[in-house]
Amino acid sequence: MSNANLLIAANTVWVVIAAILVMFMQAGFAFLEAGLTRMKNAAHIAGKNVLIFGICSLVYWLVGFGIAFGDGNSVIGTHGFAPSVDAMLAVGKAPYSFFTTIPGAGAYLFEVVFAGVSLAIVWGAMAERAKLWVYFVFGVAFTLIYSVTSHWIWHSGGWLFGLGMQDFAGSTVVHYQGALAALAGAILLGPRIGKFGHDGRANPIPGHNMPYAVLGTLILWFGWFGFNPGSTLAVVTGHHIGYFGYVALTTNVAAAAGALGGIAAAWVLLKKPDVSMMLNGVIAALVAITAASGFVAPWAAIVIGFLAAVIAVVAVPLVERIGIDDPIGAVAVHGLAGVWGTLATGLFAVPALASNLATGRGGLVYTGSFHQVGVQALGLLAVGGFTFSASFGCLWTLKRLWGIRVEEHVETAGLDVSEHGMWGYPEFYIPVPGGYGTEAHGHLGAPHLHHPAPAQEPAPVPAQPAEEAA
Amino acid sequence: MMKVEAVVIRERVETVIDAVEEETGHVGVTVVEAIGHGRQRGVTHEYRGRVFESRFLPKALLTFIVEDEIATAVVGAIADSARSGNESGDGLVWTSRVDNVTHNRSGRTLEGVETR
Repeated sequence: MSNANLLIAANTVWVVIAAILVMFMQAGFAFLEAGLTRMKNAAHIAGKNVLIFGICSLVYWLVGFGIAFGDGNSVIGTHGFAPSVDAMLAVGKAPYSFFTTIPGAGAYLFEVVFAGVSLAIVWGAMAERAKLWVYFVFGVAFTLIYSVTSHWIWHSGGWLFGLGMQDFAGSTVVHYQGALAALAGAILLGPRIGKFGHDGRANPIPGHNMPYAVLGTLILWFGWFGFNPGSTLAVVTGHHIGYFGYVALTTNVAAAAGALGGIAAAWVLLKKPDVSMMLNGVIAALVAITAASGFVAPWAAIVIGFLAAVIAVVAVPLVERIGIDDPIGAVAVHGLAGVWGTLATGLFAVPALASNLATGRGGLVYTGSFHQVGVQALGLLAVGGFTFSASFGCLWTLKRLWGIRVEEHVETAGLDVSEHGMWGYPEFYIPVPGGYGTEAHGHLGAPHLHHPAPAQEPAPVPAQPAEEAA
Repeated sequence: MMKVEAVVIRERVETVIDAVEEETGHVGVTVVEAIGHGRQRGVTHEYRGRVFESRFLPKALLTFIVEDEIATAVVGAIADSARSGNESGDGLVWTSRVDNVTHNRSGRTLEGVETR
């Protein structure tokens, strides 16, 4: 086997492992989001991560991957839809000539898990009140929207890539974009019942399980070692061998600074070292370093991570103050930290690293030029305009046609029982067989032990939602 | 003094307490989370397409200690606000006479304490 082929084999091993790490981030979101919301919605919120990854994976295979990374023009990929076996096995050939280091199938796997992460973010701000079917319809729509902008920024033929926009692993593409759709959704849905008092002041609705949120955050941190380092798409990057190790380092120090920044900012600004704010700080830092991870020095990664965490701690209450109910903090943590990370790359990009990656130029602190910051800002404006209006338009249409928010009694009883007919924690709500309150009920219709059997079997009580039955 | 006790659906606890205050001006309540059943004998639940019965439904037991003259109005306010429109399960409200109602902080009987 030639050296070139061995290199492709090594690249593929790394990228597929990275893809698997990123896929596991869905577990992180499941625990984080379930932990930060109420127990009556826990099964729904954890389960939706499986649902949306299923939707996203198929839509991305059918059209999204072609739109994002198929050969095409500067705005959209026009080839590579429902790819054949040959297209998935080839390296650097049409319709995926963009991927020169790994075969199409490995590239699909790596890119689809990113689309899945972006889509997972969307529902954080829409949690606890959206109708189930909206996940299906908007899941498809958002996967397509996401694919278009990822073509602009990541595909070598995309127009923002051509301008030199630096978004190493997707602060803009994945996080900012997910947050834009999340913001549109949160605005259109309106706040949860009880979130704002009669005087308009925000009530905290505490998450039901902080250890879940901690576990989710650690899983996300773990998965991020695939997210950023995997975005090298190769084990050799320019003239740096094993460059992904360096990217993992910047990722880790940024997240570490985010943990400290989050707890410090909460302690100083909110007067309590709030655990959930420390977690938000870690995630905001990871979001911010995502664009910068391949471009910046370790000291800059620490600055970016620390400040991202402070931004998140400040912004979470600000988002509430303007009347937006974002249960997970997606708008602040993924949106504003994504904006910060994208701009910060324009500030701190090391010229030698940018030229080695052949993407954009050095940042303001090295070159004294605002050029790269300007390119980054232009990218944010373009993606912001496109993704927010497309998402808002789509959700607004769905709202006008069928409604996207559950009815009041559904929201009050919880989406678990109302939408799925089950609970995340059933014994908290109802007696279950084998326990207190059901000992006399062997089987439906069987006579209760404490009174004589009736001549005729009683008709079973019809199943109905708990609230009606109550 | 009169003790007004009511068993109501859990989701209506605050509605009922607010209605009592609005209708009669009475403030002060004790809430106990309870389970129980009436003539519907419980409820069926479904899990993975199979049904099972549970004998008890989640309820709340509210206790109000009120002046004799407003007891009837409190009962009326509770009954009206606890009504859900469902076939069963809205619970009951009842009163009983209570003696020696004492205000813990001042040690005086409640009649002698300014309550409004």
